[in-house]
Amino acid sequence: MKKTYFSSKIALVILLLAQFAWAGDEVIRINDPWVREAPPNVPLAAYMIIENLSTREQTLTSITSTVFANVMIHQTINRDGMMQMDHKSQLIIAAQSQVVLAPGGYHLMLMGSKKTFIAGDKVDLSLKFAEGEEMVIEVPVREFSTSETQ
Amino acid sequence: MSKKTIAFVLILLVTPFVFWNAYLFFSHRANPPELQGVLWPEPKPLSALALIDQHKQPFNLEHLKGKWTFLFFGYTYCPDICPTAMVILKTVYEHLQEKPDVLSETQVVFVSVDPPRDTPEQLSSYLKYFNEEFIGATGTAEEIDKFARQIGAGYIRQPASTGDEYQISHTSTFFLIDPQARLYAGFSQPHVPKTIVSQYLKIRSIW
Repeated sequence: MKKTYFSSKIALVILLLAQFAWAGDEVIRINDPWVREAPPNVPLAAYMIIENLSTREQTLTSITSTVFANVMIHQTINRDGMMQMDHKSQLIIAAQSQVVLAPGGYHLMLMGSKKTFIAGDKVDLSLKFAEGEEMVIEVPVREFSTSETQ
Repeated sequence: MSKKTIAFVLILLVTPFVFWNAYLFFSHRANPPELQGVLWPEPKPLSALALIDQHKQPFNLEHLKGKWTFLFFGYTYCPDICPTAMVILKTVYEHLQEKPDVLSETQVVFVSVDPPRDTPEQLSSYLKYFNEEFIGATGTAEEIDKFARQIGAGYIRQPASTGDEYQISHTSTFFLIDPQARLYAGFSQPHVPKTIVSQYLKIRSIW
């Protein structure tokens, strides 16, 4: 009995230590992802901070989802007072740097959903990078509240 | 010098001073610093328009009379700028709820620059999400064009890229129409609800 207990503790410690070793290899970290709740039958926007922890450039080239037919990278640009939505085929995140997707700037446009999402729902987004990194994230739907707009 | 001469000279010296201050007072009142860049140089009377609202009822010049109108040109398939603008307008509207007499003379009108996709039904469901009292206007491309040109609101349909639905570039200015259906002011970005509210109240006070 005692032996089993002891060895399982060691295994646990090894596993915990191993976590730190693995964390050193983390390439991309997604911070604060959220989808803005919107009226029905319109495309949605997803925002987040994409952090590149590696020492080489990372290029986001494709985003797919099980609940959206199409996801594209867009950037809102103000050109002489006209707000333009530029489609971007890719998003480059420099080494040891981050790109912020936020209202009025970069965003992911989520199209072709059969369902209307409300605050509290979660959507999945699968991100693929040209350098090989792939990840699936779960993104909560949030209401864009007045506290953010004063 | 006689008394008359002294009086005359004094009047001569004081009069321009009085006029100058009167000018400053009235021009300051008409163009207060906090409304810099907001007031239109001259209110512009609008001419007839023939649109329909989200209930398929006519929306024309008469509907811009008797109230102050916050006018926004956008489209429902716009995922970033338009929802933000609508939330800002919703917040402005909510702040005005503290002044019921002002609120009763204020309306928010969303004019679609995308009539093919923004049917009255689409507008209705879109606007209900933000505020049931918001008005949506759509119509033929020609009528929207005519109205936008009057206001000076630009919009251009962007070519659709592969697998993408088309987007439309448009101005994000909130135009303010006075109760005489004249283009009176414009609020450009950055849009801060509390600032817009105080500027709007100031505009009303000097109108």
